[in-house]
Amino acid sequence: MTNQFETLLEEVIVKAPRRIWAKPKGALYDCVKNLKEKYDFNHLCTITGLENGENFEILYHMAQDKTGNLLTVKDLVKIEKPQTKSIIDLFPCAVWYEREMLDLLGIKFEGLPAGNRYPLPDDWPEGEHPLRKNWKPSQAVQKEAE
Amino acid sequence: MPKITVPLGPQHPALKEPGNFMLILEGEEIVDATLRLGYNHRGIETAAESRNFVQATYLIERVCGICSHAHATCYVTNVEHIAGLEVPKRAQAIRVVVGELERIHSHLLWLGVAAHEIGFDTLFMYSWRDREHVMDALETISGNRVHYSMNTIGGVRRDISKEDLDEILKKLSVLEERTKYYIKLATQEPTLHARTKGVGMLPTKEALKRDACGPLARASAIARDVRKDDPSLVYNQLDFKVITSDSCDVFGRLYVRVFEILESVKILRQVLPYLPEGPIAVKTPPKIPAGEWVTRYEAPRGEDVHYVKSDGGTNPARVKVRAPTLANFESVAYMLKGDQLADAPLIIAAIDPCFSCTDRATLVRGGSSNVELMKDLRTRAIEYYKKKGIDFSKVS
Repeated sequence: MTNQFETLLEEVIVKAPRRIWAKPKGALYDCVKNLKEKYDFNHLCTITGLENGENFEILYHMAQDKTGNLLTVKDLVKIEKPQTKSIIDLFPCAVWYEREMLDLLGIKFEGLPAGNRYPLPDDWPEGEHPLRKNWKPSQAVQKEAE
Repeated sequence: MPKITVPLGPQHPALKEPGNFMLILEGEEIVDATLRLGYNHRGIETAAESRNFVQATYLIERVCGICSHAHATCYVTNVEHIAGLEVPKRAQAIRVVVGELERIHSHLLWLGVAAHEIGFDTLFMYSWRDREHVMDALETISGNRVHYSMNTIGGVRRDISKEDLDEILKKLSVLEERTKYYIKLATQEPTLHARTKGVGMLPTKEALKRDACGPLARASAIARDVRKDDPSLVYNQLDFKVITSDSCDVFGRLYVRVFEILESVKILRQVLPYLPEGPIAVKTPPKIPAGEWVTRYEAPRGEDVHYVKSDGGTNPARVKVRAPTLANFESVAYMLKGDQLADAPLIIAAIDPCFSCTDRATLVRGGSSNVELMKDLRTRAIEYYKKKGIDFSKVS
């Protein structure tokens, strides 16, 4: 099965039955689109965002309903320029996961419409992203907490 | 007719959890809805990074007050995979037992909440009374009614004795009989039909597009169940059906949940009397080797997804939790459109949004260590009512 993905993915590792890990070849958006439309990965379980010291990792966990295969596509985004393309036109529910990464890690998604933020409060100060490794509550946040 | 915006929540008597729904109305009809969530954000993912792997298990368990075992199982499965631990068969079976009891308790709780939103409070009281049987069974196993703390990395913390097992099997018979009554009610009672049929429609196509999960997806004729699709523990050796309904409305969600209680009873009867012999846990090293894993688990509300990353230390480098309710909110916004304002609480409740609850009564008097357990309180209550001429002693 992994051979089928050659045009889309690289460094494909099958760690256990139904657990596949890979990196996208080329743009992430096109990769996710093809996986959904051509390879039946029709269910987006969630998107995980994390900081690995050098980059932000965005992990798209996609599942096939028929086989139960769970594919994790790992995309890297530079910390200095945290920006990537939104996939909400492919998976509408991704809006919650993308907004969460925008608030907690400060990763910007092109194509994510303006709307209510999630999950931080409306009056949370700009530029404060609590899930970043070097984040310490600033004076503005501490003042808010008081 | 001018459009009116009505805010529902964040604090609202119909919802026991803070969430804000801005409903745009034309007359009584909802034409659009926007959601604002996050009022319960407690920073658990960041907090987990400052605890060691074992401590994080019990923090993660507290993500939810109802499906706490689901979250803890999902988390420990990740850690066990990263560490390469082989979980003993007996521990896996005990995890299934607690998981299925939790599912019964959650579905009965939902039935009560939904009945209350419908305005059928007698059913609410009946189902919550019957829920006590399953709460007692969970207390027998774990010592706790909520937050069972059964899981540890590498297995479970408590064994199930032969006597406990017999008691739970007895309770299951009562639950099965009561569930059959609820099935009769759900399929025959005209008021339930009138209030739930055609309300909160979510066609199969829309549910697929919005990645609905759990009973919500199954009520829209999508046979999506992680226990079947991506089985962990001993689920691949068990015989059970994935209940679906093609009615795509609140009635379908009611139907799926009551029949799922029977399936859970069926699973428990296949596991409980045949618990494999052997140890209940393996020893865990304090440091977990570097690695990452992702696990899916069918919680009572739907697919629960956890991701854990270790960098080789004693604390997790990243824990990500995606509770099933978050996946279903995109569907809620769709379902509200076109329905009546009065049905909004029922439609929202129909996805079973997660709210914490704890109803253990522990009384410590005058600073002494005199702890009164539920059964003592029950005995006292029976005596109290006997003096008033009402005999509750026959009620189990």
